[in-house]
Amino acid sequence: MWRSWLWRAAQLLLSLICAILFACALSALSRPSHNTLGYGQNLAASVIDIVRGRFGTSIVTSRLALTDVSAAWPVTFGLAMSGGATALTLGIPLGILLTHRRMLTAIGPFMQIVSAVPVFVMCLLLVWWNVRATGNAFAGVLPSLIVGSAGAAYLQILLRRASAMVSNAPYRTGLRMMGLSAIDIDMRYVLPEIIAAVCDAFGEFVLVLLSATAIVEFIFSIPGAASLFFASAELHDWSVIALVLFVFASVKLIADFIGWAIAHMLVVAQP
Amino acid sequence: MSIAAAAPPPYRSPLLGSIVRIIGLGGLGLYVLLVALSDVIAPAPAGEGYLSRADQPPASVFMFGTDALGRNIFSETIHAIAVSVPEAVIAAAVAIALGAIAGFAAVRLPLSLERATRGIVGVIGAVPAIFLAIVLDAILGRGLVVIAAGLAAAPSAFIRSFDRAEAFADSRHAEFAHATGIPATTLLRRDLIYEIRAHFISVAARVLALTVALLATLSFLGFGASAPTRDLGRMIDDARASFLTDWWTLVFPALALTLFILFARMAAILGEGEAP
Amino acid sequence: MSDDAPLIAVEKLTLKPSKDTRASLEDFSLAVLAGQTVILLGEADSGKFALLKLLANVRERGEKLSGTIRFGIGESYDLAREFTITPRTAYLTGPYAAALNAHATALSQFIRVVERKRKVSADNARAELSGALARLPGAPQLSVLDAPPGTIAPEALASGLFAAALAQSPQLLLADDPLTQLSPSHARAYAEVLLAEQKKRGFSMIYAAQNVESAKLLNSNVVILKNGRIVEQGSVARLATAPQQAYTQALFRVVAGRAKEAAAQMGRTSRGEALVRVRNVKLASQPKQSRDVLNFELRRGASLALVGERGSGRHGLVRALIGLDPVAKGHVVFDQVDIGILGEAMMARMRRRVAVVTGDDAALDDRMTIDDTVAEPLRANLHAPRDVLVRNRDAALKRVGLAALDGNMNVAALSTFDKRRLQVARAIVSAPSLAVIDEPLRGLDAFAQSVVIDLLRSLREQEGPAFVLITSDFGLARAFCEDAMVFKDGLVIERGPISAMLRAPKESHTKKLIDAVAAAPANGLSQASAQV
Repeated sequence: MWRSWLWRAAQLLLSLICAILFACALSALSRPSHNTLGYGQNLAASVIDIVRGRFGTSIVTSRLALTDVSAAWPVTFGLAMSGGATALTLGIPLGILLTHRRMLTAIGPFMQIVSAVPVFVMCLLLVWWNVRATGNAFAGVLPSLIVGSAGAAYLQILLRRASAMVSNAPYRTGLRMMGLSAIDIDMRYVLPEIIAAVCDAFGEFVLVLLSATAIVEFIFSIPGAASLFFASAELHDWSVIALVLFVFASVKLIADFIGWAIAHMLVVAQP
Repeated sequence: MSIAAAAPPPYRSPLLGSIVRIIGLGGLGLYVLLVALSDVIAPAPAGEGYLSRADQPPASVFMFGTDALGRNIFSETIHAIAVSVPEAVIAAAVAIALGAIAGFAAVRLPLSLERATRGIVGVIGAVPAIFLAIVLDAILGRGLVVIAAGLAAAPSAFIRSFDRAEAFADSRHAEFAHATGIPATTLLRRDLIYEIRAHFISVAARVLALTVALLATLSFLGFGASAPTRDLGRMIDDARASFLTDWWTLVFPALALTLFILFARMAAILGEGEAP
Repeated sequence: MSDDAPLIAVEKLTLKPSKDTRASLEDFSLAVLAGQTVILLGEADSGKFALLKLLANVRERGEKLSGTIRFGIGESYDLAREFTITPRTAYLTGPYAAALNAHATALSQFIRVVERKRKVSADNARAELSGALARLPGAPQLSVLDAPPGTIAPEALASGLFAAALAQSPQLLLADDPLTQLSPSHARAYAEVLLAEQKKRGFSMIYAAQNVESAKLLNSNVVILKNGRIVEQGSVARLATAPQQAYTQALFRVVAGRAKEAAAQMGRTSRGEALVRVRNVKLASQPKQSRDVLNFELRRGASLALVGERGSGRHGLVRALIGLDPVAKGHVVFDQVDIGILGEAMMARMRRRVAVVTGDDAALDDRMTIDDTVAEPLRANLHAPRDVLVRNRDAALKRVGLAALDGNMNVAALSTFDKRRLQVARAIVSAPSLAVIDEPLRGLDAFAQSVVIDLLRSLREQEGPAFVLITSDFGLARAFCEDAMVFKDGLVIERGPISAMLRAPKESHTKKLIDAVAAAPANGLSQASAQV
């Protein structure tokens, strides 16, 4: 068992190193180069700088890229976390509800339409509704609600997929024949498998939250890491671009590992 | 295979699934017709507006109303569709070639190279696609934003294809075929043919839904095609200034975009809430 | 309860899973006395499992029931209404049935079952389980079962399942073919223990059997089921020798009997030069300290059975023969070529002359169509022109009895029986010089087994490949092969003509394998006849 943990940890480490190298490759674009050799030298210089903990300087603010990103990242993180909490609150009941055929028939088509609406369109529609229909009553929670809705939509499909995967498992009939009740089987064996399957996709869930957070920051002019990224991309501030991308990628990769770890513990630790 | 890469929960019956797919393909076909006949259907050329009829709500004269510059929203929407759809198709073609097909073929590489490729693409895919598209757009230049979007959509298509192909390559039937001398090229051809036969429409429609949303988002954020070309994302971005009072400037292009994505999702038989 | 009164009596039971489907059981009547064994024998959808489910009190939504059920001398209950199964029942299945959750430990699941059925605490349930396990000869320690089911040896898991059933102190044991897919020697040992425990504890048993071998081992009264209806019933001896119905006759065509007939008909196939030569080979599966080496030849058209239990090294030899795995030492010469010097591409070309028929249905690609599956060797290896391809493909499908199916049907839609026949069709078209047949009857009911045996015999007679049969069943080995190698723990412990081995096996393990397919156990037989 410890082998699988070691292997996954090694994979995470290698992925993070790969992400650093990509960040170096982008950061190297901030230095002038006239040919491939020049770029190669810039790349080597970037790698050395990052190993020494130097992430470059923003050409926009003239501050260290690390300073700018460190200031902006907590805002993004906070928005993503609150969105995640909203996603769990909305998505889990919705997913459970939609495992029932009648509910799926009733709500499914509506969900299909809602899922087809791009996040930025949903943002604008909800802003319109908030201002025109409620008199701006939800202004404070709207960003978190939008991020949460995107996350909830994804979470409920994960739940339904996981539920479909275990629904026809032969052990459900076998254990019922042996004398366990359906509820006992579902609570002891089916539920941990469903939760494990959902946890296994935790990285993808985090990616959905971060993507929605980026759009929300832009629309609501929230000074988070995504807004910093958009501004830096306009001005080709590669040091900041590289660092922001590295942070986002790392969060997703670490979330993948955490999700795998929880899933692994859930199925291995079943009594 | 994780459930993130697994097949979506099946529709209630194969027949309903077929009906959904047919509606999706039909809808996409309608959009193709709109693109082909945009100059005929649109009552005015792209960008034409008269300030004298600015900010008019939907009525019999202007079905979808006019915007602040007096442009016919219906006409502008048709022209925007004629820009967005071909762009999305080109981006989808890039994503399928460099993503889905490459992912399938990558499984046949020597083991260490296969693992390394999967790992590298996994790291690239860890970045939100919109960020990736913006970076690629900055590197390639504004004129190649469509290619940038296709490249940004490629990692997720690659990973899905790779995971599916890996399941086949490690399968008992591949081992059985190997034991009876079936060449590796025949096995690859078998996998490709059956995948294309069974899943091409799903894969293509799924990627199309992703690229059209990605391109629209890029334009909305200001990274898409430059003016005067207006796609649906740019129309929606332009509507930000006035949508609180002139709701029609947002709703109709948003509806056009949403319907296209909905039809693409239906053609791919994506589950509700499932990301393309 | 009076000794004469049945423990359970079912009258005119009709069970429909839902109103639009065929009845799983129709007009079915059965009475089981205390201490009696009744064997339900039939194909997969014959209704056996439906009865077990009903008696295990597992009801599905939308099920429609009619008829009556009576327990002992009590009143009859209308099956259409609510009722409770009064006698204590326990469900017993085999280790390959995947009846347990794959992630939780087998022990925890057994304890939970006993806890719930006996209404005792977990500690008491564990003690009961431990006691039941200790009384089973050859059963493992309780700690062996404290692991996920997939990691436990099948024989140990079978003991655990049996102990869990016994720990529930049942009056009626619902046995869902627990002997299936066990090797003949293990199945025989298990059957002996099952009958001994039944005699000791006095429980009744309804045994749902898919093939005749299980029925023969238990040697009790048999009820033949087909499509939910009783076809015939009687003792094993009577049904085997004087069946009244054609279906019963088809089910009871004994493998061993057919083996004699087949061997007599085949005679010795003429042999050509050596197809495979094995010189001083030490297999990777052999223990490191072993110095044994293999030397033998397999001539064209000859046949060789590799007999042994799972994990004994048979597959290792076959993989070495066809170049899938390198040998630790020595040479394998396939058709005059030392395969040790060949690259992978050349080895793949050599393997075009190999056909494989296996009891593992995952060996076929579910995505492919029937036509493509059969045509693939012709297209890929022989580059046959289209008309030749179609002609050969259709002829092969006709020979195996699949010509009536739509050739564009996916393999996924086929039954196990059809998939097995499809493998034979694929083997036919590849015109092999070597056919590897790996447990070809696995998962098939009696009727399907007899058909597949005929098809394999036809393959051997008409295409004439050398046959290498991997099996744990000496009866099947005798049906097809002249020579045999007996494997144990990665080594060949005995080899030679099968007839000589059967007459006078030199090794005890060989004798054990031979005895496993001999007549039924002599002790602990239940002789009471079933009542209708």
